[in-house]
Amino acid sequence: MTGLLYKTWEELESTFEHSFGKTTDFVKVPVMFNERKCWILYYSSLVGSANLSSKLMLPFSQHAGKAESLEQFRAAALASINYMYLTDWIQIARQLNKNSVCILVEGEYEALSIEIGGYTERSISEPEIQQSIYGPKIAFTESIETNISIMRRVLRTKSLQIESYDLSSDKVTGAVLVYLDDVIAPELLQEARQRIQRMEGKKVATLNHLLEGLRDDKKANFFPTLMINERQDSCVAQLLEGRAVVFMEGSPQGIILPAVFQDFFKSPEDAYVPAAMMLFMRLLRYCAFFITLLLPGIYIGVINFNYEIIPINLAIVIAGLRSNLPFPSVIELLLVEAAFEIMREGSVRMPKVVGNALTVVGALVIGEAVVQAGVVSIVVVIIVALTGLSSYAFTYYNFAFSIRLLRFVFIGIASILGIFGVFLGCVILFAYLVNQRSFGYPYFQMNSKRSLL
Amino acid sequence: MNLATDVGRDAWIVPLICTFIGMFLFWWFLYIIRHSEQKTIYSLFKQSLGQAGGSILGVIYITYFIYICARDMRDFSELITNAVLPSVPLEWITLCFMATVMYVLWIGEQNFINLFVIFGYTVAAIFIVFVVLVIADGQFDFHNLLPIMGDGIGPLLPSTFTQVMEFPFGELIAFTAFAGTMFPNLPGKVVRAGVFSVLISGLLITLTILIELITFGPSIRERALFPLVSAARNISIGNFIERIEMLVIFAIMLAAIVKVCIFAYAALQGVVWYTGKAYKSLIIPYLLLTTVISYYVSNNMSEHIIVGLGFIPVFIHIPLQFVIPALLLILILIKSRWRKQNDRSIV
Repeated sequence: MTGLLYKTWEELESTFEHSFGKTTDFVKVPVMFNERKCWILYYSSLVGSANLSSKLMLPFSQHAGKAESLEQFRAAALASINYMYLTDWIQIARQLNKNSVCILVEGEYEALSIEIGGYTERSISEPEIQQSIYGPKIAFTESIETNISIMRRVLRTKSLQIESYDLSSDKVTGAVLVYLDDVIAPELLQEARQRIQRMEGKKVATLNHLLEGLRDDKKANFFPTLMINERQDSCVAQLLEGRAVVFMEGSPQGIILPAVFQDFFKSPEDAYVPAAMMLFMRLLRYCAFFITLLLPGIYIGVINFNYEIIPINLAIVIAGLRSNLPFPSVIELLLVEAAFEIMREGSVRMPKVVGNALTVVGALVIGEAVVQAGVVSIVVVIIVALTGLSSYAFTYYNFAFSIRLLRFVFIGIASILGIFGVFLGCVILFAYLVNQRSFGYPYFQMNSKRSLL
Repeated sequence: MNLATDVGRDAWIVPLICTFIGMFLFWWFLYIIRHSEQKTIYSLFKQSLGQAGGSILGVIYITYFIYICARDMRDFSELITNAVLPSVPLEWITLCFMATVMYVLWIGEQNFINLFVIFGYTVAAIFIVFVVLVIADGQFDFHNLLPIMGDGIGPLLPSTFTQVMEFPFGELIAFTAFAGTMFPNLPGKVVRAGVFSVLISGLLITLTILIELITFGPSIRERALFPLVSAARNISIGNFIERIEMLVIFAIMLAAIVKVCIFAYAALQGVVWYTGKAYKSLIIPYLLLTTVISYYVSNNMSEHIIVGLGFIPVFIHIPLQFVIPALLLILILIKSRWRKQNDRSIV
């Protein structure tokens, strides 16, 4: 305890300036509360005026004149609103930053804070990154309350538990841990709580900071060990499997923990198609994984070291196409890969109106003109196009991104050691994957049993 | 490697016989560890021979494991220079292979065992594809195998007891260095699984040699350096699926990594037991040493094979794989009987 909120009523005004600065959206209204002086404090940016008048001002004008004390007033007029009594300016500032209104009455040394809220929010929209033909057309929004409501509307059970955390003491960024307490493993829950608590008091502004704090390996890791998800149906499915979801204020995605390698090959759509189809699509995604990762490397290895392993007719065709080219095959491949990556990056950053035009023009220019000019061979363009298309087969963008990066490593090894280098690279990659952990769960394991090691 | 070439068309019978011997061997090795209530073979040496004698024997075994590890590394590097990368120097290939092995060892035993499970599935898949393609290709002749054991069992015995029993089955002795630490007290389930996997791998070797024999016949097989790779190279289906030797080499590479890792791990466990140093700090120096040994172990491929299949099994494998474990077994049995009598006399 740090003493009383105020010594004399008159010094309060300077205290406000001392505690809250001169920010213009801080509102302090002097009113009369049953012939006592009273302050109402809030941030106009966090409390909507409609909510304020219906939830607080209307009851205030009706009941404030009759109430003996603040508690009596609250019990009579604000019965359905979440409230808290505070005796500390730091806590008051914190509550004000959480969409609350504070009421200070002369003669009472506890401030009443009530949650009003009501600022404008984006409404629920369709998922944009993880699209699916079937399934609910609901994506998470930036508000935690909305996200929890989206979850609870499907999981109407008392075992759906929600724990709130204030991630930083100064910048109040909230995070919630959502889980089903009858299916989640207690060790996982314990670990998740510890890791979120470890983030408290640190600067957590974006979901990415939270991700870094939550994952196992603090150093750079190539593959995502936590899954970012914006779909309601897949989050619900994950919860039912005994995982937890973390939402953060201001991020329209949930973090699913833990996530292992195989999870990134599942798509939300898998739940809506027949089992055989699902198996086929999953197999296709695994193929896409290996094509994205290995195809350019294998091409380099075959062309530079082991051209004898491809059928002779194909080898003659490739050799004929490559006969007059100015660059070695590695440089050639890297050039086209670089062009493709730039095109992809450019089309992501472009405004939506011109985005389409850019990809078409880019494809025409890079694909057609470069081959026509005889700078690169058409085989390389085919390889790069196939690789690029395969990298779009994944539903999780982070995962595709890491494969795209590793592809260049494989090109490098293959240019030194050929196919043998690609083989060794595969072994190292899988050893790396086996070594990874996601919340203590092995990231890559053949049997489906998940043992905490 | 080319096993049991001297018995021609009956070469596949030798590993079949040795599989059953090998199952017994593996059971025997684990029995020694389990019965002596020690965790590793190194502590067993100390228990039965005392500090000095045990240490000498332990160092001999560590050297032996490193040496076998180096030989396997050389085997595989020779395969790569011969079949995949003729233009790249042998040192460079060995060095890259060793770097991979180092990383696999560095991730720790729990993880690399998980990795080897994945390798197992991969090798099984490749093997099935290979067998299917051999059958689809149709260029095989079972008459190459006839007459089965036409000269009786006599000619098979030398190669059985001086070659295949030691390499690869006797090399299972490496498991005695760490099986006890991984599975305390070695429950019956572990021993059964181990013996069963020896059976499976022995049958795989037999099947491989059978495929080599029916596609080539004994005389070509005898002269080929890597008959399995050659068999894969010969496959041609509709002029489209050709030269699948890369798949086979990939499978061989996975197997080579597993073998090299197990020997290196066995040796490192010994060094850890004697020096008490951290396991991870030993990986780089000892594997670099292994690489150097693998480079200087023989001057060329022919010498390597002659030494590996002629000299090593008789003069190195037999004493270290059979004589010493047999002596240990006798010692343990005598001790336990003596202890039992002691107990009785006390009562």
